[in-house]
Formats: sequence, structure tokens, C-alpha cells
Amino acid sequence: MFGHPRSFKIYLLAALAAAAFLLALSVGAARDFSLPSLFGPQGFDRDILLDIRLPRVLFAFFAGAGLALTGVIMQCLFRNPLAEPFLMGTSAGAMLFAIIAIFAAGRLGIHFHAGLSGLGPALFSFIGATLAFSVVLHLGRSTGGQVQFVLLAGIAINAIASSASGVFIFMANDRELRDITFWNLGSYGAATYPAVALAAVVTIAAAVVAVVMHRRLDALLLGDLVAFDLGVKVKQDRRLLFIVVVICQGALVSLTGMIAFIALVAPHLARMAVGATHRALLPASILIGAAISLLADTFARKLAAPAEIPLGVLTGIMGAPFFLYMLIRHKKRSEA
Amino acid sequence: MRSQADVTGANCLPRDRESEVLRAANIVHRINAQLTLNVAEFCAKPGEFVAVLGPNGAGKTTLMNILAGGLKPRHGSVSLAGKNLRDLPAPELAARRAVVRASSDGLATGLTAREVIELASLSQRISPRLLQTLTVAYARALDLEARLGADFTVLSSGEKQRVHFARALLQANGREPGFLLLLDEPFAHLDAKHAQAVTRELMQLRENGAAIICILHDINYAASYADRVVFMKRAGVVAELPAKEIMNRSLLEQIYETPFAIMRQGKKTYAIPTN
Repeated sequence: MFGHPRSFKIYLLAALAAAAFLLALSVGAARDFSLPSLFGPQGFDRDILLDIRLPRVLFAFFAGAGLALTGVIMQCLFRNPLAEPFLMGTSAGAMLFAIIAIFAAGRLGIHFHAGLSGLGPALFSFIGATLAFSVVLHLGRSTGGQVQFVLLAGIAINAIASSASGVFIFMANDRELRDITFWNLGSYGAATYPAVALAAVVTIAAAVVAVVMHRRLDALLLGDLVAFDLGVKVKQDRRLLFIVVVICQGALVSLTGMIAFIALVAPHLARMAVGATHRALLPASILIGAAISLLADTFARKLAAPAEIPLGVLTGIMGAPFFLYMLIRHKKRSEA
Repeated sequence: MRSQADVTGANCLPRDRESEVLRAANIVHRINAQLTLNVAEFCAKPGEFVAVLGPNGAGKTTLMNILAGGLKPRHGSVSLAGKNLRDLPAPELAARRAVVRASSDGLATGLTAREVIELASLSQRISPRLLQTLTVAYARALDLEARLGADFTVLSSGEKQRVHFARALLQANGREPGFLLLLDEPFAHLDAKHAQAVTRELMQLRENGAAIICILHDINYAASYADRVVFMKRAGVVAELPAKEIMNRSLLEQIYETPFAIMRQGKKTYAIPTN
């Protein structure tokens, strides 16, 4: 494996992710650091770097890596390069429950410290994400488990959750409205060390499972029947992978809100770079996801400093055209 | 719902059972509202090539899915080397039998031909070096060497079929005695030259003691290469004969509901559909 052109590309991607990490660490609203001054900062600089910048950058790394990872797994499970975790209703479910949490907290006089930075609403939205995902999966299965039905069920659950969210938004006061909007746009603003730890744990756990199963993921690409012929315990493995996706994605979405398209775009770029076999695709997607996430968040923090552009808006602006491009290419390919 | 046509079952004698690779008994499975698969007995021995023939919609592929273990029949049992399929988890199954399906929708895979073939090693302990050597060897035998690096999805139907066949050969490698190979129309997309290459490999497997169950439409091929032919029609077995005896006009006309001519050319006999 060493010396294989594919390994070289993965090292290259690792270098890219590392560079994005350092760039994200050195650039920011308060001040920019030169590369040498990142190591061994003093006084106030130290506070900025260690208390504000580092947790945010670490969080961006793990969130991007985790989202990309869930994208790879979903695209494999659905054997569809356009499958994205958000299509499974997770984001809408998470949003609804986050709104309910914001709403209830306001009415009950509970204060999550510093608005959304506490993990209270995150817990709620995690439950919402998991619930929505499970319902979609269940509905999809009871209609035969075909991909298109699962995706349609996802659209339906998205619509229901969004409408219910709309009701709360309609009733919300100004402060709640701002919190909700902020959540909806997606941001790494909630990045504290506990949040970093949580994102790291779910992402690393999901990565370990996926890497251990990389050959079975390859086999699943050929269809459930062929995978079974090859010796894959299809039902059992699919269930495990879905659970991994829902926990990882639910946790990340509940901490970040809607960060669109990383889960879709990163695996695609990775596939272009190293091919479809998961032994290479998994590390490449993780690194590209992390790099995109770090760079986008750096832009989000720097472009309008000291204000912050919502990250979800940035990834949406960059990701949506890419998604359309892929849609068109995919159509052309299937016609060819 | 056994047919009136005689089921000889000459090769399924009870005394042979211990050495059988596969035995299916009393299989009943609903195919659709009109058809229920009904197979009282089906078996294959080591070193035996069993061809399954019959008109479209006769239930051949459904039977194959049941024998492969991917489809659980409503009633009846299938055993592989004396073990019930229900008690064999997928990895153990994959170590005892390989399947080449008629249409394997490699939808959006993006894997290369080499990577698809190498997936055979999921059920094997094999060093990466040996895996590479064997992959290249089987690819060469099937004239795929130049296509190993190609994206599986862009291969032609015939190439895809040969890739899956090579994968099945790799799965059988080193396990031939008592191994079961299930093939669903393996020649459907193959030209004459590549069909011969596949046949050579099949004969080699049979010689090494593997059992082959193969769905076919080519009566003449079955007569030349198979040991035994099972004819299916309307979701049941209607006749079971040694391959030498299938060149029987009335039998073929009864099964396919179209006129046949039987022709002799030297030592060989051919069945040709006529009008």
C-alpha cells in the first residue's frame, strides 16, 4: 500500500487538512497570528488562541470530518451518490426539537447559559434528529425499503417537521426568533471544549466502525444480494451502519444546526481523487470534509469581522451549485 | 402440484446423500399471485454439472435465489454439505458457495473491475500478494487483464458478467471439492470466444470436485457439457434427465411449446427450434 499513488494522494489530502487547520487557527476576528506565534503564545494572545480559537477550530475539524463520514456511509447504503443525511429528515427533526427547547425554556424561565451555547437544546435536537431519522427509515422499510421510498418518506417528514417549526416560529417573540434563526442557519458558534469532546467522540467512533467495515461497505455497493453472496451479514451490518450514521449526524446537527452540503460534496470530491473503494474513500472524505469545514468557517469568521456570516449560508452558497452540477452530470451519465 | 411428466431423479438416490453438496427438499414459495414455486427435491453432487432449463417465468431464478440462501422459502429446507442454510451465517455460506447472478446492477459503484473481483476474499484468509496474483490469473483466463483498472460501471454487459465470474472463481479457489457454484445464465452476454473461456473454467472446477448448478437457455450447450438436466415449467420441476437423453423432440416441444427439429452431425446431436 505504501508508495501506491492512492496513498500519496491521501498524504496530500492530510497535508491540505493540516494546512487548513493552521490557517483557521491563525486567522480570526480578534487578530491574525503568524505561523511561528501559534506555538507558545503569551498573555492575551494565549487566551484568544486556547480559549476561543482552538476549540472552534477543533470543532470545525471534527464536525466537517463527521459530516463527510456520514455522507459516505449514506451514499453507500443507498447506492446513490446523491443521498445525503439531511434527506433523512434529521435536520428538520433536529430543528423542530431545538425550537421546542428554545421556546419551552423561554416560557419556563430557564436560561441555557449564553443562549445556545449550552448543550440543553442540543440534547433536545439530538432526540429530534434521531426520532425523525428512525421514522423515515421505518416508513421507508414498510413501503418496501426501496431507496426512492425512503427518500420520499424523508421529504414528507421534513415537510411535517418544518411546518410544525413554522407554527412555533409564528408564535415566537423577538429574542426566540433570533435564536431560532441563528440555529437554522448553522454555525460553529457553540464550540466549547465539551462540545468539541462530544463531536470528537461521535466522529471517531463512527470512523472506527466504518474503517473496520470498509470491505463490507465495498461489497454493499454491489447491491444487497451480491453482498450477501460475498458473505456480508447484510441486515445486521446495514442496521449497525444506520445507527452509527444517526448518532453521529444527530449529535453534530444538534451542535451546529444546518451545515448544508459538506456531507454531499466531500465524499464526491474524495471519490474523484481516490476512487470508490472505502479503504481510500473513508480517509479521503474525512480529510476533505474537515478541510472544507475549516476553510468555510474561517471565511465565515473573517469575511465580515467582527460580525460572523452564518456558516450554513456559506456552505449552502458553495455547495448548492456543486450539487446541481452533479445532478446534471449524473443524469448525463445514466443516459450514456 | 407435481407434473404428470416423469421425474426420474436418477441421481438423487438416498444412498448418495452423504456425499451431496446440496439438497433441497419440499420447497414451496409464492412467486406471485398466480405462481407458487413447488420443488419436491433438488440435489447436486461433487463434480456434477446440473443444468436448469425451462421457459421464461418458470421459476428458475427464484429457485436459484432460494438455493443461494438469499431468499428464505415459505416451506421446505435447503442444506449445503449436510448443514441447513438457516444455520449457516452469510460468511460461512460464502466459503461454501459462490453465485453469479444474471443481472447484477452495479448501479453507482465506481469500484474498479479489480476491486470487484478482489471482494471474493471477504470470506477468505488470503495474503494481499496472493490475492493480487490470483486476481490477475483469473482475469487473464477470462480475457479481462486489460480491463482490471476500469470502472466497473462503464464495462460492457459481457465484461461485467466475466468480472463476476472471475470473482466467483476466486471465491471457489482452494475450496473446490464440495464447493457449490450457482450460475444464472452465465453466457447471456458472452460472445463465442468468451463463452468458451468460461466453459473451460467450469470444466476445470467440475474436475476438481465442485458442484455446478447453472440456469441455461441453450439446450445444445446443456446436452454437451452438463451431466444432468432439470427442466422447470410453471414453477415446478417437470423432468429430470441425464444430459445425454434430453435430445427428445416430444419432450422439448412439450416443455417449450414450440416445434423442434433434432439434427445429427457426426457424433453430436442438436436441437433446433423450427417453424
